[in-house]
Amino acid sequence: MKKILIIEDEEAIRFILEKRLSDAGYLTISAENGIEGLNKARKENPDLILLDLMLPGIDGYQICSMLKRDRRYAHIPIIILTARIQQKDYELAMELGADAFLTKPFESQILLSKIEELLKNNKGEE
Amino acid sequence: MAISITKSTPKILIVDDDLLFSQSLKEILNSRGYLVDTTQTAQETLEKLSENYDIFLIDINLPDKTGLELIEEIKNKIKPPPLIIVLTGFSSLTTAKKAIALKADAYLEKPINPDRLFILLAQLLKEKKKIDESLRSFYEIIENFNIPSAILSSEKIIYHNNLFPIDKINLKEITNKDIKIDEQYFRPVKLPIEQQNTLLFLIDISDKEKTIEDFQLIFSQLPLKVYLVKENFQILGNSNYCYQEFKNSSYPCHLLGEFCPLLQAKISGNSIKSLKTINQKHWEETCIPLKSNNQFLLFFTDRTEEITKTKEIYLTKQEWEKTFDAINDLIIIIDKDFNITKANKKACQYFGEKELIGKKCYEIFHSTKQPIALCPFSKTLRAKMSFTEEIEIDEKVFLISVSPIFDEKGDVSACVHIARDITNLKIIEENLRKKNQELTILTQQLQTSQNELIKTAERLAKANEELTKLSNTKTEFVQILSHEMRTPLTAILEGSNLIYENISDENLQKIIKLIKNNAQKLFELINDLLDLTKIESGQQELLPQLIDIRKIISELTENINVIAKEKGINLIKEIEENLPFAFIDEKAFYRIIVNLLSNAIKYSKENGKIIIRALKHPQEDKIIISVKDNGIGIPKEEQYKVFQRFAQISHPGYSSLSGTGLGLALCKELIERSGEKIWFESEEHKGTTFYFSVSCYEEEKEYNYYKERELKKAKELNFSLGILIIKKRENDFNENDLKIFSNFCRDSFGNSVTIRKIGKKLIAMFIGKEEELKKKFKEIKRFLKNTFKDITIEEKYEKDSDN
Repeated sequence: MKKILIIEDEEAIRFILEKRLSDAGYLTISAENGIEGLNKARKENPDLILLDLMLPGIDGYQICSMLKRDRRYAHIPIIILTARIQQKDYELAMELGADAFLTKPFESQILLSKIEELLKNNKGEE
Repeated sequence: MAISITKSTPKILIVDDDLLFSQSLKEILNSRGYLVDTTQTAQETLEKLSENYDIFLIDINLPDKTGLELIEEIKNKIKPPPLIIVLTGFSSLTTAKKAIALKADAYLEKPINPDRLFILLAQLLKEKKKIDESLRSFYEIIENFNIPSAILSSEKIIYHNNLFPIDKINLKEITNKDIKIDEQYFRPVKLPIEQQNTLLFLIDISDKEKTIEDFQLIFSQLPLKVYLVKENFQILGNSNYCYQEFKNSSYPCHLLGEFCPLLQAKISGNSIKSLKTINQKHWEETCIPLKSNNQFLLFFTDRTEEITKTKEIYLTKQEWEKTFDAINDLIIIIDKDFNITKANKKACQYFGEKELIGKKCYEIFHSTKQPIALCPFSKTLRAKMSFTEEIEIDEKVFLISVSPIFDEKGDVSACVHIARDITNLKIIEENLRKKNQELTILTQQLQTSQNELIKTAERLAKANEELTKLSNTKTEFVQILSHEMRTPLTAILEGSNLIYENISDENLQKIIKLIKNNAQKLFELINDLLDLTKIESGQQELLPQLIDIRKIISELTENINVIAKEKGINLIKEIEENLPFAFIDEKAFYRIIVNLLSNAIKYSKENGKIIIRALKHPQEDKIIISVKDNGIGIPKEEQYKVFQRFAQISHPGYSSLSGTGLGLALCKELIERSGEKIWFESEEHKGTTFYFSVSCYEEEKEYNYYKERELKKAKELNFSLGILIIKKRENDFNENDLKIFSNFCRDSFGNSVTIRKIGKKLIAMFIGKEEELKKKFKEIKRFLKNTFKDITIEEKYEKDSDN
């Protein structure tokens, strides 16, 4: 079972995502702030990370940057899930190595298909 | 007696008992080339008369005789008389003047100023020479006449023969009347001869011995036409009658009604003069009766030249007088004694006098008995220079200008007094001055207005600044709002989705669905609001580029189909084969299509049909995209609202349907900002079709678009635009190449760089000063050649072309 880390400070969204992903057959772990998220990403070794950008403590950009620059974690696909919809946010996230960029509100269908696609690709590379 | 004629070197005799004086004077004259002798007494002088002196310089006080007596003797003995200049001391000036009045030609005061002497001599000699030359023949002729004869020049006897009773005659008495000398009556006969001189004969009319033949003999010697005519008109020594000779007539003139001079002379017994014009020549006919009025001396003088001259002078004078009278100014000439000597018509009219000549100027001008010391004329007299003054008389303004007329000595002999009525000019001047004042006031007012305008402009600028700030705040607010609303909206939307999928109670399902739809609507509203704000604030610039419409529409319809299917709507795409690429901002294009499609879905009925079409315009360089639905349509009276913001279009019977009110407004904004058009056709209950145009792509178009855009920026900064066009010789640049190059340029030059991949080329546009750009370009070229092998770089500089 694939393990997905959800780093999201908004409880409602976190809950909905947990529900959606577990319904779709994934194992989910959640973190409600940046530090927790980073720690869990390192400890739990998830197969994919859903990352919010605006977080208390360390923000999403920093987490993305740290993980992607670390050889041990660089392979973990990161999907940015944010309310920030500006082009520069997208560009910065992509530059930092994010694998996908979805804006809120998201269509669960699209999110799930993106997750599926990334996990499949990652498997192929491994 | 010898006749003395002026020689080329004049001989001078100085008669003075002051030896020192005469000696020094002699030396001075010698130095000027005169031949000079000196004598000390009158006696000595008389003895030397045969020496033919041209000029005598005679001291008025001589030891043996007075100078005056000597002068008389010299004049009698030497013919024509030599020049006589009287030398005098100051005390005897009156005597000298007397001498001149009678005989002498000039006088000089001792001590003698040599310059004045030379000038005087030269002048006198010149005159004498002239007279001598013209009269020489007459001197000789009258010398031989046996009637008293003299030659007059300017009413002065300059020569006479021995018979002429020079001592007993007063020239002033000689008119046409007979004169009595020593109990004898003489009839004076004046014959005009050359150079305005006159021959004067005194004919003894009581001398019965002298026959007309004698006269004939005498006058025949004269180089003049002189006829002697008998009482019966017969010309002596000529078989003709005078009327035959002069008039070419067979009858005496008086028979033809003409009172001829001869007849007049016969009746009056006096000399008669008349003018005759024969063959365009003017003759002065003088008829002098001789011998008890039965013989007549008739002679003709050619006056043609003089008369023509006089006529000319007369004409000139007349013209001048006319001109003088025609002048609108008052012109008065006043002599130095305040007498008016000339006045034009205007002046006479002004003063209401028929003639002003002879009157005193002050009587006329000022009605006073005495000259006024401060009037311009008096001032001119004193200062010997022109004066101009403005004088106001009887509500009229005159410009008085007085100019002096000088005599030979440099004294003021008269003045020209000109008065010009400048009343109208003054009025004009006054008006002008008033106008000028008004203008000044106006200018001041304008200045004030301008200052106010400047202040207003400043206030406006400030207001504008505040507005911009406000606008920025608004944009910021909308952005934050949109961001902050997204997260809760996501929760609502996804939450309701989850609930909807997991409950079975239909009533609850319906409620959840309504929540979901409303949240969705809210979401769209936020998006539209955000986009509009961004576009309006200029935050989101439209960057047109090559887009593949077919690809984009295919992707989009795939996504939207999910939503359409939910409503049972059939979404069909009809895209022309070989549709050219379009040139438009990609995001804008997405947004337009999404908004038009979601709009179409919203207003479609269940199981409706939506067709999205893309066709190349048959003539123009455009692609026309249309989205057609067979939905409820828009009522005609509501159609004008379609593109208005937050316009609520009422659809009778479909009250539940309402959009965000921003979707179509955003489409219009995006399309028009791209330089394209949007329009629609709609029929109530049948459906609506929206159309919009997109330009076809050309590399040239993209290049020009960005070049113009950068050039405009460069112009605002007063900089040049430098362009690098980079081509790979073999393969194409890829996205990575573009990224590498962009990064290099941004790192080195910041944001003043625009880099685009157009076709196979990389185009980089830099704004800056041309010299600096040239330096930078060297660096960039080095980088490019090191990074990409086998490339060509074209370098261009553009200045704003203004067109």
